[in-house]
Amino acid sequence: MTAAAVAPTASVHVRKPRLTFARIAKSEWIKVRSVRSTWLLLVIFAISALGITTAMASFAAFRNPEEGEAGVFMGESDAGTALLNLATMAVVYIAMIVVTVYASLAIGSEYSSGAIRSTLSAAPRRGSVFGAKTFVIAGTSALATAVLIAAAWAIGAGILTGRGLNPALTSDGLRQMGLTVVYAIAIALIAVGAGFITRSTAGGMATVLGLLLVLPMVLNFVPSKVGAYALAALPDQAAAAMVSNKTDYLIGGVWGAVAVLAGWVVLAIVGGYATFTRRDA
Amino acid sequence: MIQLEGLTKRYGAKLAVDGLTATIKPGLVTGFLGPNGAGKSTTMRMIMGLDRPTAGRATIDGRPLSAQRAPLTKVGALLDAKSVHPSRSGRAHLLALAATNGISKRRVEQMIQATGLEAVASRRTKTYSLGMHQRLGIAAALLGDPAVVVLDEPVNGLDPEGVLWVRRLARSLAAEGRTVFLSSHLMSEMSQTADHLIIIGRGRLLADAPIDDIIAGASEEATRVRSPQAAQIAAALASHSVTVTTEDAETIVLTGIGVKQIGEAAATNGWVIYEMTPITSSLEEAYMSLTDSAVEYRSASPVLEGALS
Repeated sequence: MTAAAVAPTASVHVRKPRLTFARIAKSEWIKVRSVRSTWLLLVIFAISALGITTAMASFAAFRNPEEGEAGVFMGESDAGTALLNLATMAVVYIAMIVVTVYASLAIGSEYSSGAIRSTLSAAPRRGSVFGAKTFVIAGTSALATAVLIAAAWAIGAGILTGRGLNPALTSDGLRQMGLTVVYAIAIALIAVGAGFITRSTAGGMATVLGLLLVLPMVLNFVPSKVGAYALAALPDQAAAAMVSNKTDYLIGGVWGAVAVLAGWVVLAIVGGYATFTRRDA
Repeated sequence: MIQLEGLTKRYGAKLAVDGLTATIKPGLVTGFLGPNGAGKSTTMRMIMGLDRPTAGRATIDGRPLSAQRAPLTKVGALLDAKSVHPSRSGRAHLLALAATNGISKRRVEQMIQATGLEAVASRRTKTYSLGMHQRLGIAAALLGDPAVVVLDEPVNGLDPEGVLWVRRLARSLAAEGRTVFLSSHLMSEMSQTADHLIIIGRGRLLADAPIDDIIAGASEEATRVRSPQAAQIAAALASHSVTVTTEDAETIVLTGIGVKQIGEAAATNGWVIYEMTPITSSLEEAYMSLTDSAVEYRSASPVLEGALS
């Protein structure tokens, strides 16, 4: 190896080098693919969500229609609705944890390792880097959630058919699945924002998991009307109302729920963007 | 070409960089020298757009880095060799960086070879030694075949072979007409690599000149003379322009008079001369005298100070 070997030849660039948003997004895609934690989280997500669905669909008790009664499975007389609720629940609960960890790691590890400085040296446009990172993290989270909720439904439907039930997928069912994916995107966006604000994996993760899992439990014990409204204002409650079309949601029904969830997303993204574009890296 | 125009960075009450104005020209290796804490890294971070200047600006060919169409082809930087994700392979790190500017995979492989990382490129960087990290950082800096190369303490922690490699690399990059800007707190390193020096202390510019001028500017012509007649010589030559310091009974140091005049005087007076040595001050001494008042942390004990200098 000699210093002279570093001297480049003129024809090295196939394309004309130029910094674009699409190329930064491609770079972020290479980054998420090239760390083990991404694949490990995906495996955990798949095994957990599909495992819960399989177990419940296989072993939950139901009264057999052949015994002369209407088939009642998991509290629903319609097997399709029951399976839908089951698959949604399994995917949402695991997604809350997995997507939060995934997004927090993607942002936090760049800061803990200092890789953010390499990133910004190659791509010194902060707004584009923020956008590309957010897009790739939210997009991959959405894709994984969409595939897994569809797989959960398919596996569950196969099992229930074998048990003599006949689950049907309705347009309402598809809407619910779609909104579950929307919720996963919202979680990813909130975690990305928290990651950029805290600049730490642990900080981002603690903030978002506290918001999604701990605060709802705490606020459940606050008896007053204020407590009820505070609980309803949390992102997971709003998301649940949105996904299950809960018209009696405390803050403005279903559309109120959409607005509350969007508010959390905007808060996190605006905070993260302002921090990232203004602070020294 | 890098231009610093009144570049200033304030952290709270402390001025890390204080109105730095300088031009770093292409075709030369420009050394950026100063004691630890003088503001070298902060200046380099501002050039790379990582820190926002409190006042002034740093531009590359007239524009800040963020306004360049393809930043990697303009500036390649190695600021901290460990700025990589520990769980990502060296190759994936380079591929991700190259992708932002649309630089080909072929170029990535070429840089892996040029920096001698073929054997470890697929390994996660947490398994890398400091020398491998340094090579990976240099591979990243040169990905875009940049016109300007910025290296912060590039030889820190390298073995002698690595030091030599970086030194040759800096020289060859400058010979190709690139702007090479490298920092160090060690004058000895600079004396072997740099053509031009920018010296700062406490964030302020102390010197901006060719390396030879800096040595010449700091040196007073001095000659050590050893003779059994040292006292006699001292008495004969001492004048208002010539100072004499006595080292021991037969050794004196004369400043303000050349070797030639001393030799002629010796012939005329028939003095016996054992030794006559011109003393040129080293770059190290020039540096010490320049930064003397600008050292941020001074060792309190004179014993320790002696040991360190």
